[in-house]
Amino acid sequence: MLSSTKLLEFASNYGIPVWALDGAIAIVFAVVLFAICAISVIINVYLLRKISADFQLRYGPMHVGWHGSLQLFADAIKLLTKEDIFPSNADRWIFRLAPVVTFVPAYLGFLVLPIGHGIVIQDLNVGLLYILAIPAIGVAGIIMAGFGSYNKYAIIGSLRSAAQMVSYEVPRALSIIGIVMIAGSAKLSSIVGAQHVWYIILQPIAFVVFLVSTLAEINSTPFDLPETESELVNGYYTEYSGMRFMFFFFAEYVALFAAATLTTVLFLGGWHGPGPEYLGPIWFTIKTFAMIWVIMWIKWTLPRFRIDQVMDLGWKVLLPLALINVLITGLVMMII
Amino acid sequence: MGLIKMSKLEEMKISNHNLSELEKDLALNGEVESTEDIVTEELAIHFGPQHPSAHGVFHAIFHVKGEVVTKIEPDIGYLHRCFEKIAENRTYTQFIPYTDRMDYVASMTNNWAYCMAVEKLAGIEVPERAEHIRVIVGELQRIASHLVFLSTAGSEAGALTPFVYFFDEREGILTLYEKICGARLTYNYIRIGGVRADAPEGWLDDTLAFVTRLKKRMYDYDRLVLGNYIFKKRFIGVAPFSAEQALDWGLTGPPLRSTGVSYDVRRSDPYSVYPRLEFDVVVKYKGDNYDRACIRSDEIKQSIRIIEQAIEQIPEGPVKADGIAKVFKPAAGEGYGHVESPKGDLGFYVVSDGTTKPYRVKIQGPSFGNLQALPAMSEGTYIGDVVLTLGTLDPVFGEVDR
Amino acid sequence: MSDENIMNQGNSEEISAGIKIVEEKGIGYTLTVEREDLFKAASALKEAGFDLFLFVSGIDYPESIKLTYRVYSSKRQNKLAVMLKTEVPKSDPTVDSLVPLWSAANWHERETYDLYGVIFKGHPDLRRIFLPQDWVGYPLRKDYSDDHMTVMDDGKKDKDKAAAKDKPAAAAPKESAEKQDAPEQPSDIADANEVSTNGSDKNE
Repeated sequence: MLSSTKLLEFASNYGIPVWALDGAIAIVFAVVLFAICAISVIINVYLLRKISADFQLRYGPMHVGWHGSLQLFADAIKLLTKEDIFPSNADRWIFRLAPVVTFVPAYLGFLVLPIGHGIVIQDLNVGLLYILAIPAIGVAGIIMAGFGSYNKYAIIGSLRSAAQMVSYEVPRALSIIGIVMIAGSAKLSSIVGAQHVWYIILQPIAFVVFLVSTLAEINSTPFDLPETESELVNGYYTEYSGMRFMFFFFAEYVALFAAATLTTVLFLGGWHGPGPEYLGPIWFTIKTFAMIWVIMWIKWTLPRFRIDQVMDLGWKVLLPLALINVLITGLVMMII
Repeated sequence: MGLIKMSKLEEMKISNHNLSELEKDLALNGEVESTEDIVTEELAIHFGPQHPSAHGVFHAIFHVKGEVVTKIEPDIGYLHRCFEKIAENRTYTQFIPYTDRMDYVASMTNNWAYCMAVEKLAGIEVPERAEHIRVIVGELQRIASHLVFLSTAGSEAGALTPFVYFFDEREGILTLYEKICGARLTYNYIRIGGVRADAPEGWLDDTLAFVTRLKKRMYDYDRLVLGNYIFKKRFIGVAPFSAEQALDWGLTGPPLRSTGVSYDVRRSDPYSVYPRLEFDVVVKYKGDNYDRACIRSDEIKQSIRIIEQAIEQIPEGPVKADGIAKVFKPAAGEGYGHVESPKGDLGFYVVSDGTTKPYRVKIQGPSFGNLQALPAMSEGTYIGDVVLTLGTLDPVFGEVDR
Repeated sequence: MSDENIMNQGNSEEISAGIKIVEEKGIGYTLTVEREDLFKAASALKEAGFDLFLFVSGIDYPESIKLTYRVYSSKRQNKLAVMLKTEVPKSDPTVDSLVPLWSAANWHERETYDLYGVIFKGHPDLRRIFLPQDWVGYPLRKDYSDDHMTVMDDGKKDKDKAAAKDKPAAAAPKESAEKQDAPEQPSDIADANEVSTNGSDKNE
């Protein structure tokens, strides 16, 4: 699968079967990927707290470590040592599985993301479809959480989430069609490679549609209806505590990070930037964090929509916009 | 829903009420799936008593059909401390701190209304300077309470940042209160016959500086919250109430004025030095959530006007009427004093039998009257809207349950 | 209908035929009626433009409970408010409900029922409002004692024991009151508890 010729030679010299080599490499990548995710979440959470504190005239965490930099570890220790509580009528297996089902797909999305030129774990030629499809499985976990908790707030929250994710998946996918048309490929590395001009300039409508539906996908304000504190206490994870709660928490930030990286890849020119090519990952990281900052900015400024308004926006505004964008792109491409 | 069913439907020329019979018939024949297997029933959700936006300890049962609330059954009393009974066992002065604990977001006006009732009962004249200080602290309290309202309205709609901004402003008011009476939440400052102590040196200047700064900032805050597109989309046209409905349900304060009824105790039954002050009673006409929210923002601006005038006009002199002992015996009789508290018409009805303790103290809490309209106002709206409507009624459960 | 013997009588005004409000020291305009005439007087006030119901208060006296209603007129030129007073004997604390006139009277009357045991005839939903439904006695009556303090659970035992052990406030009206609310158990709340899970102890 990932084996290069040199590795294959090396394996055949020492009599290691190819499947074992593949397996070992896969495990190494999984660990590395998990580590990247974990680190990104740590940085993310710290930044999120500091950024939101800045928006809100606060300091944010200040006491654990330098400027509160170890706060997350303190939180993690607290969550890990908490009692594992099941609601008495919960469907235990579904309840247990739900956090994992939510978390894993969010994290699998990173497999196909090109971080720098040629730096990608698996450069699928349908990478774009993959990255749209896999994280969407996460909604199953949310429904499982709602269903398994035996809690009305949770079930309403999970149903809201399902409705919202299904509705916004459509404009989100359609908004990318324009990019595929211009780049002539659904392979993420080719899309980045083709971005001599960033697609945010060539595809402004698509960018807006994509950003809005991405906010809805990751349940960020103004689309945080599945977990509205003021209405549904905590939505689908009302009943979760301790470690399982941490998984949801984790999944949320991984999803945020994934959304920011995908936006970078599709619209902000990925690894492109001034300077030599090996600076690519740095540019990529800078752009990603800029994107996260934008999402945070929106999150801490806007109130949320009502459920019917969310649906209206998805189907009546974003979907036509995305279709118009495809039409315009097609016409322009025909003319040029 | 196959063709068979459609043709049968046409054949029978069904009306609504024999549709179910038809379905039963068809189900028996095994031609169509029976819709009776799909159980759809209303879900009863317990909202509170512990809930992030229950405004304290409100418990209601929401009957929801999908996302739409079809019926609300409020259940109050979780914070009932029977103040009215306590009052019968305390002297007139001793009861003032208890009033602080009613509407704890606006303690000052509670003190004021109670003291006014006792003053009317005992026929006590309050000195001019004390009346001015009362007006200043009372209007500061209105600003503080409305700031809390705006912040919670924002956070219930999902905007968490304005919450902090408004609480930061409120902090300024609490600091002013701390300077004048030593307390930040439960003041016990307004006393029978006046106020406890004169304003410390420089306090009036500080207050003026504060309101001047707030006046400038209100412009930005209005744009941040009330002017926000999504906020408007969430609030405009939701849970409207007509003037007739509002009067029928006994609303007072901002919820009543938002329907076009100009009932403000400061003008309708003038007390203190309000007749000498220039201000407008803010009235809106649509009576929806947005009007109820905007009216508070506008009232803050009017309160700023009042404070500026009161500071300008304040005379020198004593701040407490002479000859009022801590324990006194008013003649048998009745007194009713009410003020326009931030929540509405707050009244105390005090009955004396000539002893040192009141025979009866009835508390007319505006939150109690306003909350009662919630089912009528918000049945048929979405769950999220009910939460907002509850927010725009701005009940404080210390006052509802007393 | 108006009581001519009120002390401290001040200004007076004729609201409509036979209904004359008098200004009383400390509380403003007052109208005192017999309890049989309450509904009629209230209707007359409503017709005369008193459209805002503010509160009803009981006052416990040894032989009777005095009720004071406050209504306000948003329509009349002088923005008047009136205290409407009546009196019910403790042996039969019943009076007409004003809910048909002002919906706002609903909770206020429930409160007075809860704390004084005044029974409002024609009230759509006369249940206790602040206290638990199985509370014994009416706390704002002067002769109320809480020796029999009930435990806050749905155990019927405690209630029976308490009722048997101690006959506190005015035995006769209490019994009639209990009879009154026996069929009016909060059935819908109980139903909701069965149906739902959140917040009810049953399922924890």
